[in-house]
Amino acid sequence: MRKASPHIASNAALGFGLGLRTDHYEAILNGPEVESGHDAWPIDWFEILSENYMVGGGKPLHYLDRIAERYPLVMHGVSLSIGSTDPLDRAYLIQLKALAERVRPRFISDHFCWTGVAGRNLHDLLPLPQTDEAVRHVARRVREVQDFLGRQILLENVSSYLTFKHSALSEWDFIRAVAEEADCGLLLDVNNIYVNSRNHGFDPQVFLEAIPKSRVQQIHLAGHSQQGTLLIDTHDAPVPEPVWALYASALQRFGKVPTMIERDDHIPELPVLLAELDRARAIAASVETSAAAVPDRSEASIALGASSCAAATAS
Amino acid sequence: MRAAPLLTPLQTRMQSFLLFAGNDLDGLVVGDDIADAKTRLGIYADAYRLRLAEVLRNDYPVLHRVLGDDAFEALAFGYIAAHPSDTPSVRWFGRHLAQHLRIVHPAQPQLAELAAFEWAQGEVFDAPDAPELMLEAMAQIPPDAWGGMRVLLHPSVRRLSLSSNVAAQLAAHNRDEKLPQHQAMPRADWLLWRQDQMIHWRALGVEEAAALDAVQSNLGFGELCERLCEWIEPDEVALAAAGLLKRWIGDCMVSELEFE
Repeated sequence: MRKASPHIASNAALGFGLGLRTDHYEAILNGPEVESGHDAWPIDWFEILSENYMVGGGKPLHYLDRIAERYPLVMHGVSLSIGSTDPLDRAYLIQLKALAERVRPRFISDHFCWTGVAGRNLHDLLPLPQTDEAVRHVARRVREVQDFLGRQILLENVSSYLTFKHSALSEWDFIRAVAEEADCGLLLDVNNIYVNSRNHGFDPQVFLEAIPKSRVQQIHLAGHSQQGTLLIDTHDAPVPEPVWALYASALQRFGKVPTMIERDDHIPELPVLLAELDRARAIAASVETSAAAVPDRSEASIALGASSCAAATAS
Repeated sequence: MRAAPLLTPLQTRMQSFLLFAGNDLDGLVVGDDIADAKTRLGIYADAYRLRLAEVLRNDYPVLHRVLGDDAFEALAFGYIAAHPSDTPSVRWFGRHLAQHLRIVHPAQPQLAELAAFEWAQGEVFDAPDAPELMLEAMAQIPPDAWGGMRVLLHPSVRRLSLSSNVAAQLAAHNRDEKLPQHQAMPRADWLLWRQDQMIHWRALGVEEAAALDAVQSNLGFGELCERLCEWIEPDEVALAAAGLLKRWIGDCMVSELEFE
């Protein structure tokens, strides 16, 4: 088992953030109304969608620079396509690195997914088969990306609506194996865990218990919608009660982790999202984080899992 | 023994399923009591087309208004099938729509013009930043340097040739007004640029269009003046050309003056 590199655990105090959306640019820069008695919004950081700022200039970079002067930023991408069998897109990585040099983000993240092959991009976070082959493939590419960027990245668990026949590992075993093999961090999307637990019929607590504590660097919270018997990760609604409950469980296991609210559609005024952020803060404050005193069972099981995996490969 | 590599054929088959909706994916995906395999795959197939159609709606809001929901959706689905994305960012997905419209709606060239105008607006919006020359710079041009001087335009500057009233439709849309009906117009050159982070546009007279042609062909100011002599008396052309330069600088369209 590889130990998580020391520096990925240095951002616990980052606090509570929001996804940066164009609808809020002016409100963020203008600050709250004078009557509120505050001279700045109670937002600790913003997460930017990296691809939105891979442009030459104009308003996107104008606002980005001004907001970066006032708030810490993290970068979250959707096009790394870390699981694709196409070669890594070198031009994309160059743009990603240039953006990182511009905004100096606390984290750079993307997803456990692939977005296309043969030079195509389907602009969806497509699921991977959970196989040993995919673990090796993704881990090798993560290491390559980290070497290029000169830093660790985080990968986020995605919502999924199907299971491939060939999948031999659970989602959590797959994530854990890649994270350990690649020595990367994890961005835990609590809504996605809940959505997948409903879509694939598993206990989300089992997922949480299997994830190594030291790898979890950031948490996403969001809403979803129902389509027939499946839940869809639409990010167009407030965080629902079952996701808040699962968030409390996650904090009990992982301790203080920078947390943000993601809203990509039906985006409300900033104060509505701040109310959700306040709820996240309240949950974090109320959770007894005895994480340090509790042995991390997932990390013990990784060692066993790695041995049995090696044995299986040798045979 | 390791299992045979699965990832490449799996991704190829799934991508084909999404791009060409409906090819055979039997046996690749597991169904269960919650949802069968077809339903599960259908989530991805629907999401693919609907997501990209939404991207096009956001990039072409006026075209969407002109066509209405159903016709725009049909156009979008046709475009998605004909031009699968090959860039990491959806920002560039819709860049072929004007060309696509020329093929699928050849009898309505105004639709392609409208798409070209809306796409050009997007290019102006996030074109690279560059210095913007101040008017004082004109006073510092040495008298004997004017002839060989080259004007470097700001990267946001775009030109369009239009023969319909799409600019009026854009303007009405921006004012939240009812869109004027399509109307054929005498063909004219249009100029789009960014100033103070806002997108501006205006029609060009024939002289200014010729002057900008010279600038964009990297000709010197002397050659620019020679071209203008087609419309302007030789003893007035230098003043007229300087007037154009002053207007361009005032509009923040000039990044640099380059001297030989």
